[in-house]
Amino acid sequence: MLALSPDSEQELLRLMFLTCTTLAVASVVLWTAVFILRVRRLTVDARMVAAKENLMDGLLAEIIDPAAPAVSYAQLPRLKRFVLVQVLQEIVSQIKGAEKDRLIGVLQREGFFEAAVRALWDRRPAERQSACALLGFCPQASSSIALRAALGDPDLGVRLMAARSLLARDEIPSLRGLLESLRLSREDPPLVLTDLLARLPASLRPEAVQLLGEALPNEWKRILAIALGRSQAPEAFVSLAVLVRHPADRIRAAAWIALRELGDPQASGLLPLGLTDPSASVRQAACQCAAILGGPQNFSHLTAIVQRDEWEVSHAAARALWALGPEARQILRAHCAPAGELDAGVQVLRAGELEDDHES
Amino acid sequence: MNHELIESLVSGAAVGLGWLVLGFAVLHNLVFTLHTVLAAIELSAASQRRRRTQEDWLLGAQSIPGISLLVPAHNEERTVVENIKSLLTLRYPRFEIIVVNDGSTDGTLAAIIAAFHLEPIELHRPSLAPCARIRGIYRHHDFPNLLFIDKENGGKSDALNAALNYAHHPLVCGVDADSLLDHQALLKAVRPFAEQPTTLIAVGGTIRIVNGSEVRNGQIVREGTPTRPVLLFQMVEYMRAFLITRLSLSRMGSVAIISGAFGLFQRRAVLEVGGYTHGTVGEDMELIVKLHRHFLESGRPYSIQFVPDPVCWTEAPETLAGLRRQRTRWQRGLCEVLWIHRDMVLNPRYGRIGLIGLPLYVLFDVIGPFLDLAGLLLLPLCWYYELIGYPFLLAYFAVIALYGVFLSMTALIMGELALFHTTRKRDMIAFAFAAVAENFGYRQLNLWWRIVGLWQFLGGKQGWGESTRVGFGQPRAKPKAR
Repeated sequence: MLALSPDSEQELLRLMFLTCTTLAVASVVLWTAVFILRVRRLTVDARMVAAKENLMDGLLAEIIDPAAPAVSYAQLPRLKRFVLVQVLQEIVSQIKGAEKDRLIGVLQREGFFEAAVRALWDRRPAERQSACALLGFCPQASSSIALRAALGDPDLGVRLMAARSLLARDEIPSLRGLLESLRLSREDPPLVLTDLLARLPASLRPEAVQLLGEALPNEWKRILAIALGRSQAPEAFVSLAVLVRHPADRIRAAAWIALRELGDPQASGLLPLGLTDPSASVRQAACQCAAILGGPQNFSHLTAIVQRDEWEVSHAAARALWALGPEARQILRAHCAPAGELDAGVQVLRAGELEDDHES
Repeated sequence: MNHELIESLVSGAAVGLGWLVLGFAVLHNLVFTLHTVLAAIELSAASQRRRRTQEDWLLGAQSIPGISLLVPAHNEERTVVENIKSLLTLRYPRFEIIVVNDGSTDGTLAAIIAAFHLEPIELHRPSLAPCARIRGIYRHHDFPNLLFIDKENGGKSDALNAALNYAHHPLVCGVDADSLLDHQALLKAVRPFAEQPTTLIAVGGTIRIVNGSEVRNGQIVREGTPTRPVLLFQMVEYMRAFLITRLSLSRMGSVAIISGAFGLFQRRAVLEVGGYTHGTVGEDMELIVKLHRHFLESGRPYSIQFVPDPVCWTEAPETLAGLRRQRTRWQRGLCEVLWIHRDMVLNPRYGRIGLIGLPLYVLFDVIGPFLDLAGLLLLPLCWYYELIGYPFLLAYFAVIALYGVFLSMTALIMGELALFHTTRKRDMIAFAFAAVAENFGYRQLNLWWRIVGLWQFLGGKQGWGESTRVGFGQPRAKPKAR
């Protein structure tokens, strides 16, 4: 810097001053623009909120009291038409029973269904999602076609909502086809899949069980296993029994969680495998499974875990012993007699006895 | 002859100093501009992620992990009950609250026991993280997810460790007893854990200032801005720090601090590093750096992230004296952590945190204040004695103040467009005023406090100092007329 000629030095300083001043002024101008836009937006929002509230009041009055005047699409002003799909979706997600049936009846009225279909091409993803949720309740064949078209939406949230609606209607012919059409990327959260698989209709379960045995990414396999366990699909047992020997410990742990949820007594024969697994998280999951499905044949393994394992695993094994009846509790008490205050077994015993006292 | 030589030396030194401080200020601005660009990219990515995982799905999902909230309380009689009530109303399917009375000398213990009708129970857990002696554990049948630990005083880290030992969910969340959580906070913060269940070990969230907002029953019922400039300046400062710097560091994989007011951690990971370190003022930063060190040294994949969503509200100091205490304490905490982990700075073994995260703190937060303050004090003197010309002074002023206006306004614009959506014109005008005005005095005052903090660190000062809490929803005391 010191080597700069005085002229270039002056030029550089001038440039710095001008750049900083211009940027500061530009940012203030930009903020002013944002401010003006925000104020306009606040005004529009206030009008929209008023329109939404008014429309919601009208629709709620109609579905609660059949004698109330019907809301007519043709007579709705432009702003109310603009918020109609959102309002319908908000109401439909909060009511059930006869009121919900009546709202679905409103959806069949002229203009309403068409508005929901049109909203599928709205530029706002939230609007398209609302439309998918609404169309799920419409029995028209054209709603199925529209929902299938929405599976190709560029926005994942819209695709998922369409899939949820189609799953609820049991109109998904193939689970593999659905997963392919959703185009889930590596960045998409496993939760998306959990959400979908938790809604599997009975018709798709055989295919889901078959998928469990195929080459799926580990995370997908894990989620699918738990979802099948939770769906209580008895046909999943064989595939889950294979997964308890999977090389990845997260999948083995998931298999034990799924077997616990499934509640199939055949799983008790596999428990020694899980209770002696090299991974602590798998042993912990197996202990939790043993608490429901275990029997006298597992007492020795559970006692060994209580005596020697990591505190969390030992705690799960002690809870299993406590849950497995008087004989197992006696074993737990015998272990606890010489054990110290911090022993997991002692903690479980105390908590269990306290709970019994409260119940009695 | 000698006189001329001295004059020439002084003049050369003045010009050299001038270019040094100016060059440093330009570098600082360039780095902050880079932060702004990265933060904008991350904000956009975060908005896409938000659309992928709706919070209501998380609420219903069976697979999301349970969370233990760790709430250390020391002499928080005025706010603690209100805060616990607010925490009990959080929207989350599985969580427990573990409140630790860290040897309070006021009525904190009695207030909590009376408010929740707690009864002593026998419950013991191994001391996986070291903590002072536990005097009693309390629970009530009607609040099964509220556990109260009474222990001897050992400091904030010690209290957090005690709670950590008793936590039984896989995720733990440290919450200051003087902070309020957004009722969706846990759902917002857990999203990254739902997205990366295997590698993510910690997540921080945006903290905002509650002063000026209306609080009722432990919840913000109306967001607002305070009237005191010192609070407005802090609001803009928080926005710049959380929305720009931390978000950008998160994008670069170099998050070195997750605020103690709110942070979500894998319990197992925190226990692996021995919990919170005792005797540090910056225990929140120390934990994060310790986690980086542990996972990098053991060669295990991990990530620490920051979510831009506003999740926690905290009470900011309302007076300059209070603010000075807070800022000097923060600086001491920072210096402590950097000193403890000095071998990580510029060490390629520690990857991005060693080569980017920590060196940035050393350069701009430890060395920077000296250079900035030297520029502010000496350059006007040099100009007065005609050692430098007025264009130099103007350029320096533009780089430190006008560019600061640009950066603060950019942060405001980004926050407004992406996250906060201010609902009152008055608040927007107040923010804009603060974003401009804070560059003319307030930021320079902060530089001085940083130097004082560093001085206190070198002098071995310990402890938190007194802090005065007004209490949420309480009327603010009017400032005394001069």
